[in-house]
Amino acid sequence: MRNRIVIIMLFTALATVWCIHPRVSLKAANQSSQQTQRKKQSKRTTGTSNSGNRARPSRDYSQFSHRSDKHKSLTCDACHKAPTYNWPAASGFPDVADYPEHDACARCHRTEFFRGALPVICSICHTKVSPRGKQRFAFGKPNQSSQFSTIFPHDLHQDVIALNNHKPGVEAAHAVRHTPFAKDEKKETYNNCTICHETQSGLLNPQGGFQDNFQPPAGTFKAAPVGHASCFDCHWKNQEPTHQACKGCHNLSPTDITALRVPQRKSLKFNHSREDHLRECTACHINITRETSLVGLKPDVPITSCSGASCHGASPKATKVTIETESDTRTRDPGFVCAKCHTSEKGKLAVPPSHRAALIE
Amino acid sequence: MMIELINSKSNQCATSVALLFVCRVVFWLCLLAPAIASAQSQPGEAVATGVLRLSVKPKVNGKPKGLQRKRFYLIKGGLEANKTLVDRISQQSLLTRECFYRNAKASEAFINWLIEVDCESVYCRPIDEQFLTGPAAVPEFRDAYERSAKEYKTPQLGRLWLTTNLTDVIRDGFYRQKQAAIKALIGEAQNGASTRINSVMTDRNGTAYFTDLTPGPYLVSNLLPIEFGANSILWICEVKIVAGRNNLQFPNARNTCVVIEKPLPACNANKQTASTR
Repeated sequence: MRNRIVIIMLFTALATVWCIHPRVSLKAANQSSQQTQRKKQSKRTTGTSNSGNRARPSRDYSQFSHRSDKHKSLTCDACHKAPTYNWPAASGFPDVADYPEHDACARCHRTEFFRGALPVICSICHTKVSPRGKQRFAFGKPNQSSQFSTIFPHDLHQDVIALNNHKPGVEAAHAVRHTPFAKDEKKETYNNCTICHETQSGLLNPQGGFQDNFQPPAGTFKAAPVGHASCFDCHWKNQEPTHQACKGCHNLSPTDITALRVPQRKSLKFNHSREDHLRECTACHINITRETSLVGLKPDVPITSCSGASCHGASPKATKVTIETESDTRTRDPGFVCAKCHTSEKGKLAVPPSHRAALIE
Repeated sequence: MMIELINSKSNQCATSVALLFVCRVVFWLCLLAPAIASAQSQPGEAVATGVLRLSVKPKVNGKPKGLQRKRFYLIKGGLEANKTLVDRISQQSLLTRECFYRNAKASEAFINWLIEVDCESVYCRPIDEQFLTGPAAVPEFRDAYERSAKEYKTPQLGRLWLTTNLTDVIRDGFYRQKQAAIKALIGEAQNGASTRINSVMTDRNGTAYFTDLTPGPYLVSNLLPIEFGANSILWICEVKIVAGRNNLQFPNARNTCVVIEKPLPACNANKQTASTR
């Protein structure tokens, strides 16, 4: 009997130690794997240094990092020219539209430039590594993660670009990619956000498709600005941050940032281009005029933006699908999926209190 | 005898099973207690926040009209707690857009171009062809356009990018001057309250929302007088935020507001400067 109690106590103590300090075991595992990696790395480094005159740590020269100590110590214009020679053809406006020239790299990396017949460093910019290969990737390497985050205060830009006293036919600001007002003056057009956020005209096809095989029609999403088109028309010179002050907008991030190819939505079926949805952007994106930064920025559209009496709140028509009819049916029938606005991933969840509260208001 | 022995064994066995059960319960409770405690004290879950719907509709010809695209600020604490700040805000003098640009010796055409759609900087409306040549031409734009067309090679780019060749004062001098005054007031307000001062801009109906607010008293103000028709208006209103939805309507909430409405100051001396130019 006593032995059993002792065994139980011992087991309890061991289990407690194991549960409370799971990091101990994890740390040990990590340390051992790191040691193995270091050993492998040191073998590779030794191999490299033997072939060269100076012992240099092994580096992957097929990838360029703005984060290396040396690169961080340089000013942007030590490598990047602004504007680049190709701006008339590449952008149509003075722009940074190409990679730095060879000298920017070769002044420090001469050894890597002439290492072997096909130097790996060339593959950073060139699509094909060969002495005659002049083809380069499109500048900015589309579909690649970025080493920089963007600094953009929506509040300041709302202050200056947003038209105060809207009159039909009076457009706001002046962007290169600016879409002119529609001729139809009956149609309300709001232009302060579209200077940067154009409507996506094509269909988006994420890998694996959308939930429930739903295909959002063209015009469902707004695009985020890419490149300098909607910035340089005001910030090229004189208005800070200018094209010479890259750090005013581009902040070196400690980790790579992958842009979302498809916007993440709670209500995937909301279509920005639907006639009834052509309202002033800030009428639904109620927090955007206060945002000082892009960090943690969310679309922030409260359900109350949709639940107006003349919109999707409740309707005297029994046939009309509204937040009220969907919520009622979902509450009665746990198997029901709210499909007017949501795909099944969200539509099968319980009706959140915000939806009920919006109907009461 | 045999039965007693079995009973005694089974009693011992039952005791040890009960002891084992108790040990297990105590063990799992000990393990789970911190997790339960931390789950109960998740930040943000316990505190219900409030939303303030701001509706700014001053009267024009006796009818309320939504005051659009104006920024309002939210300051923690009521009128009494922010008395010094309220006094400072109330004493702010207004330099109108017209006076500012007359002082800067801007052309009449430029001042009218701004006032026509209530712009505070050149960024708030496009500079169309008609403002570069012809009777409606604005001299500042025409000069900048000539420089831009040369610099950027094409007339179209010259027009679209002409603000880059305007002087700082013309471009957004008035806006920046207002921002400097607001920044100073915000700095003062932040000394009193430890939280960041939030601000939102009204939409075309004069509506704006402050969200995620901790319940308590707040001040809502435009900090600097707004030019509205022939008057300037300054509001400093106290609002007590409760969890859920709250409403504050200007100008109907005068009982908790300091409202200063004045005729716009004239800029006669400067008008002379402009006309003699």
